[in-house]
Amino acid sequence: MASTSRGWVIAATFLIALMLTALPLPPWAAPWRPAWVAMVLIYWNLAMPEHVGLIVAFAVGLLLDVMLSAPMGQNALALTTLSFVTIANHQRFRLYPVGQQAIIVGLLILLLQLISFLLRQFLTLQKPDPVSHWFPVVTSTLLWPWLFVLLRDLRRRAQLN
Amino acid sequence: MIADQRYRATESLRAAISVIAYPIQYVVSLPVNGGRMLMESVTTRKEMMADNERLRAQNLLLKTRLQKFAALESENMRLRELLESSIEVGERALVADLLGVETEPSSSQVVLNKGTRHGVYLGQPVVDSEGVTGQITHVGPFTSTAMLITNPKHALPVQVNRNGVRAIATGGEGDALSLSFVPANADIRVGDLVISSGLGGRFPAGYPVGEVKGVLRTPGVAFAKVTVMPSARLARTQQVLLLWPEEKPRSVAGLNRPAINAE
Repeated sequence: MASTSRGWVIAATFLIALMLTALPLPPWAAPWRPAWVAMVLIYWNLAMPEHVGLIVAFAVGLLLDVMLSAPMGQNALALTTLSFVTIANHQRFRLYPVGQQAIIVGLLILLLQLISFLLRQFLTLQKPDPVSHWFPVVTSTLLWPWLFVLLRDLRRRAQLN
Repeated sequence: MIADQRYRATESLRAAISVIAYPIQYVVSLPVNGGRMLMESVTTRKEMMADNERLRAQNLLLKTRLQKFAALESENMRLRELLESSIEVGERALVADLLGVETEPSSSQVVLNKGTRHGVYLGQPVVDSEGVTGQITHVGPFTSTAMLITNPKHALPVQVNRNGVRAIATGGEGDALSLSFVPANADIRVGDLVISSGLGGRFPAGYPVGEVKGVLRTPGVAFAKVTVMPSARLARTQQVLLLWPEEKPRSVAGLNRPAINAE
């Protein structure tokens, strides 16, 4: 019972993150879209690394690839790498105050964007924009404290740990 | 990833996962479509009547033109029969809605709400009311992804309507297309209508592609640089037509052409 409800809560958060990613924004705002899925993934990696690990990261990444019609595996690889770094350091990151965590999350998103930037640079003919490609790093950093509090309360409400 | 990009090795996996992605995309597109429906339902009676008036006038105009076209079409067929060559006119079409969802930024792709269940296939041509829009690059059971003609990966065999000069229109110029390998002395002028030539076997012939916006001939260079503005409303369109070039038109509501009288 506890484990299935835990699964549902986590799945629901990823689902909402995917929806926010697919939500159409006006052209000026679209490059600023935070990396929702990556942020949710980082949160669960920090909170419950034994349940949300690399396999979840890979699966969510594949789903994201299909949804965005990206080259198959681009987001999967990027998210798995991100997840690996997070889990390897999760005990340290967990202890940081939220502000410091936000900076770490910003760096992790920077890593994510760097991977996808390189992949797209070499794999596809459509070159990513060298400036606006990095905007999500800023918005994700700024939004992390709020997302963190939201997900933490949700986790406590759902009694997951 | 290279396997996917170069050899389309993961197409079936992609199709399978797209089933999971569809509900997400559908739910996301709901408020967008809902907002549009709301806008439509709160238009005033006066606007509706004006709209109706305009559409009726347009319909009359188009119908008149269609009559002429039918006559021209049969005449053309007769003339071609005399020359012992024939062309197929008309193909099966299906209206598809764009799902209001985001794809990779700046990737010139759109997601359509029709998939293999509706007979959509890989490489299928997509047009809108103004011209050629693109072609299908990924198909799932319920959704498909279309690459627009402005995508740098896209190439489209075209000809100039005025004199039949053939060229290949490639994307990658932002909102415009460029014609590759046009000889510098080719007879192409600004304002020429460019239509699909049907030579690649993928797109049916005769659909408008765009209008020549600029011809740049540099002395000493063998090829002219020709830019074409697409006539399809790539950024604004909400509905597109999927075409089956091999099939004759069937009963698609309001879309099939009037039967051509034999004589």
